[in-house]
Amino acid sequence: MAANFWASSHYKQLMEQEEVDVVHSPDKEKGLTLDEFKLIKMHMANYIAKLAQSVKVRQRVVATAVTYMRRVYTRKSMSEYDPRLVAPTCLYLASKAEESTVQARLLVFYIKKQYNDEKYRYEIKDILEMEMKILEALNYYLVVYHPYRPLSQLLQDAGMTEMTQLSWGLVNDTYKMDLILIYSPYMIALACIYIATVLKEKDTTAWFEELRVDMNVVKNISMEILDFYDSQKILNEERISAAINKLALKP
Amino acid sequence: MAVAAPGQLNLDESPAWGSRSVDCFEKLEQIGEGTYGQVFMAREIRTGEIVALKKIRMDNEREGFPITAIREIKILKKLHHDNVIKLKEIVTSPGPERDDHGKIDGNKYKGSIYMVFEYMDHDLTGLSDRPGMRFTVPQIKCYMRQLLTGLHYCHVNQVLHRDIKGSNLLIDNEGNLKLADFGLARSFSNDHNGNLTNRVITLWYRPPELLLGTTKYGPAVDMWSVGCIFAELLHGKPILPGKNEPEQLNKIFELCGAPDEVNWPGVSKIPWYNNFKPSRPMKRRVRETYKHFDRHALELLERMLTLDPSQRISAKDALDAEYFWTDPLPCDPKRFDIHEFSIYASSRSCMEG
Repeated sequence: MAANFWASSHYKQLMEQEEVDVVHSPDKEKGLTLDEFKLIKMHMANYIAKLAQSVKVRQRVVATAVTYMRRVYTRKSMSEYDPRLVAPTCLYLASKAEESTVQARLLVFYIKKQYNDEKYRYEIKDILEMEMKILEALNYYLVVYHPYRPLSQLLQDAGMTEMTQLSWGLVNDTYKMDLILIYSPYMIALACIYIATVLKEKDTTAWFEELRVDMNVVKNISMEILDFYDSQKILNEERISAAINKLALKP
Repeated sequence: MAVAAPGQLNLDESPAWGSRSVDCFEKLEQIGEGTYGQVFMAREIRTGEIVALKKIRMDNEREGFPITAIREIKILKKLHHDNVIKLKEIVTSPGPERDDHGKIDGNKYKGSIYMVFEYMDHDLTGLSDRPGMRFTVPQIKCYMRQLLTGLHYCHVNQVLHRDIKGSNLLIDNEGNLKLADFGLARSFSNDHNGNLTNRVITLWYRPPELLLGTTKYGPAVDMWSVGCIFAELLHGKPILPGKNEPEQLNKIFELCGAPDEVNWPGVSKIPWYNNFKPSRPMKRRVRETYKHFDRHALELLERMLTLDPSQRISAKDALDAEYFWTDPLPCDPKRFDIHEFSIYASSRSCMEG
């Protein structure tokens, strides 16, 4: 039965890191590197989160929207699917799929408010048209599982609810990476708990042992998250716009 | 996988990603009008297979892809069960569809979208409306068991159907029953149980808690509808045909008695209870009204038509009822002889309606 993740389309769609890290040829031809590809996706994840704050939707909607966006780019190039349109459209579609509908009109209003840059400006009709293309790119698979629910359950089980805030924040940050396309939400939740307990110097070896999960995977995910935090230090706006400009999307 | 060249139709197998064109199908006839679009019987050109195409109405959509269609697709993509209609794929037609004045509205998606379903020959209402048609007890048990099995599967998967009625129960010539039209269905979660609309379920099958305005409800709403269908199958016609909401409630109270804090703890806190509270005492008369029903059938019906949703029987418990385990036993779907109709004389009231 599909009420659980392991029987879901989400599980069946999990990919290998190498499959996710493919710069599509139209983008490659324009000189986009893998780093820049990842950088743009991260920037768009931030964009989605910021827009979501203005239109006031739940974190779950943000998480679903970012997952849609990342899935789209495992199949479509950024040259064909302008990230500056894909990002708000994914938020629009996710708001419907997660039952927190946001009007397209409102979204367009906040896009204009947030970016003076002409290149971010899209109209309602652009969003509605892109919505159809995204639905198709997603093959109409709209249900996404997230680490939030397993996180709460695990923390409760471990009697560590005081770790909720820290580990919840870590989960939020994992959407700046492609982890949700690669690992099960349950393992991502465990990795975030693992980092949180290490930071707070809590000994949880026994608890993890009882879970009988592959600790190597948990530690690998944790390392990826920590590496990501390190690499973020060298992030800046210029690098992002330079990368997007390579795509030469809007005149 | 072969992908058609630009400008050419992709008539091949489903592409790895993206959708095929509706031109892969030949429309044969319109067989119904769904919640948000027409339904056609069609033949897949490549395989000759007969399918049902449900068009998603995109006109009058200022908010893009309709959320009702999103709900239905989300739900159908996660349900895979013999007693739930199978969504085979989604196909699109690219052409700009002009409005009545030949103009293309800039804010509207210009193509059409179709959901492709397996084809089913009949629906329950269509079958039971046949002149002189009366189902045998083993047949009724067989349909009821399939209905409950499909619904139990939905409920386990945290889906409320919210429009259980005869015309949404499709039946093929082999006697298999499948739940269809998830256009009003919703996912629910046990932990965050709140604020759903009470304006769902066709009036005759709508449970008292919805008519009283509750917005917190669960799988029990579908079980009330199942009870109405069960009684209808045994009785030969709909049992609670109200013309409007007050009349519907009144019919329910006349049959099931008036709700009070004794038979339904908490009922007085439901929004419209005071507006609809009957002025005179009313006794439960299910047993008396249907005394000609078989004992086990009546016992099960009583538990389905229970006013208090928290005491109403669940699909799982209903499947364990004596009724399904005593003679005459439910028949094997394959042994139905009423289904030997040609699909052209198909009897459906309004499929997916």
